[in-house]
Amino acid sequence: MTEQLFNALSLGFTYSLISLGYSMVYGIINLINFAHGEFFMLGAYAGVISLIIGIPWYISFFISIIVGAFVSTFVEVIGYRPLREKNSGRLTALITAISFSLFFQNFIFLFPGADLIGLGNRNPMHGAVITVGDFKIPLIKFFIFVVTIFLLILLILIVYRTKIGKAMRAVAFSKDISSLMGINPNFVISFTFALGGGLAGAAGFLEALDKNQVYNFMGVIPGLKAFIAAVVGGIGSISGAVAGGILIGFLETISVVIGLSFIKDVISFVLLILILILKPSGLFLKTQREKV
Amino acid sequence: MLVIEGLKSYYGKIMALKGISFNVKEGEIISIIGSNGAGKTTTLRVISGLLRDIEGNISFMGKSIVKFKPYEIAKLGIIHVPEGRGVFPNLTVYENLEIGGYTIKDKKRVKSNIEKVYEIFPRLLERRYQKAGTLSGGEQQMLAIGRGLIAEPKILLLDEPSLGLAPIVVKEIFKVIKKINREDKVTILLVEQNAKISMEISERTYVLETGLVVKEGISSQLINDDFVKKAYLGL
Repeated sequence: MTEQLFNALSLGFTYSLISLGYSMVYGIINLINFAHGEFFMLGAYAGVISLIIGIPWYISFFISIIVGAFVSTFVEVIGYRPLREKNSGRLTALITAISFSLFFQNFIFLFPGADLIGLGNRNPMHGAVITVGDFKIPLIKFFIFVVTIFLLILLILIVYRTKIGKAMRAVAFSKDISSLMGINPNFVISFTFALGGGLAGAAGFLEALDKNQVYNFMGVIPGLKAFIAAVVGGIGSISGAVAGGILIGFLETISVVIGLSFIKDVISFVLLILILILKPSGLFLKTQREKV
Repeated sequence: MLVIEGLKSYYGKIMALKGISFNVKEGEIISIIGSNGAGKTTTLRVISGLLRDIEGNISFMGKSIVKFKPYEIAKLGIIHVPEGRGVFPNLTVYENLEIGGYTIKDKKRVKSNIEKVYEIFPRLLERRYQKAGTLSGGEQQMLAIGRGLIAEPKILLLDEPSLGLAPIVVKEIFKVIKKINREDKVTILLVEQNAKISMEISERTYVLETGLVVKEGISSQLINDDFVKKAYLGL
């Protein structure tokens, strides 16, 4: 049971980390950033390449976060910002997002190449287990658990305790009114992309250690599921994104445990359809939601 | 201090301001009155940089600001207090006030400015941990004005502070506006439908009708003008 609990939690937390970026970006500019799954993938690649060339794991982890944050901000600045300033519709932005997604997936064919990259013994946590009572838990699952909790606390402190966090919440309500306060909305939006991208990069690193490999399409399914997690939790809400991620993690793990592993990938899509029919505003949303 | 010359503004193909000119001198309260759709809010949105499809010139302290972005204009000390519920409903009263001081680097100064605002509007102190969205209309207006003051404005642009408020609350708010002007030396550009009360507290008034200034003058004289009496005071 404890093993499965940690499986579910580490899976759910990985989704949550990705889901937060979807949710925060939607909260601030009402865009479903379908390129977001690629920040996860690129973060994973950056971390794995760093590990392979011999950089210590904690610095590689940091590199994953930086790459995720950087690429995310890059996409915002060269892709979405010009569209926003021309007032082009949401559909244009959505198509741009999908184009970026395809671009990054295929860019990997050029560098570092089409073959999947295995970590092998470069993985600092490969095969390591920790023993809790009678149970053996893979070290990586425990690591995902601890790191995610840490990142979530950090995120909440940033959003609720810092000046830039307050500015994020102000811009989420209205770009115009916050600019009257001397806030540069574009800066705040880019910062939001950086935060979301950094979390996705972190998730990518954790996933790479867990699966011991990276490949160019690795961001697609987790990206979709994290998007579903954001919608299920109530898109725009931080706690909703985390709760949605955990819920999907548990549903998938349960489906495997009860011997229905063939529905593992389908279950989140069924969940999405049910939510859209029954409670489109999301499961965990209070009547007055706080967008970030 | 603030000089507007031949200002035209467009919403797509529709011309909202058809070439208006006016000025605000340091230390004055100027009111712009007019009915719905006269272009009052548009005027303020153009000055604060929210609308940029314009012709003509706006200069502040001798410098043209038509190319400036809204947040740059706010940093110059031109603070626009938007109409109605322009507070951030998802932030607490205290956070709203803090955001008002976004451009001030010194945290202590923001804190002491917030204390000053609490003295002006004690109601905000009582409600400081409440989400701004749960405040009454009058309290939200107080918060919007208070938030504007935190930034230590050189000029405050007030958009319809009386909108939707009970007469007694309106009186309270206008008393404060007068006080801010006298004691804190904040220049005020006031845009109002409530012609009587705004002419009572302002030095000069401009009357705006469908995008044009149709009358201007000393408020105490204009209040006895036959045209103004008939059209705006209902006498």
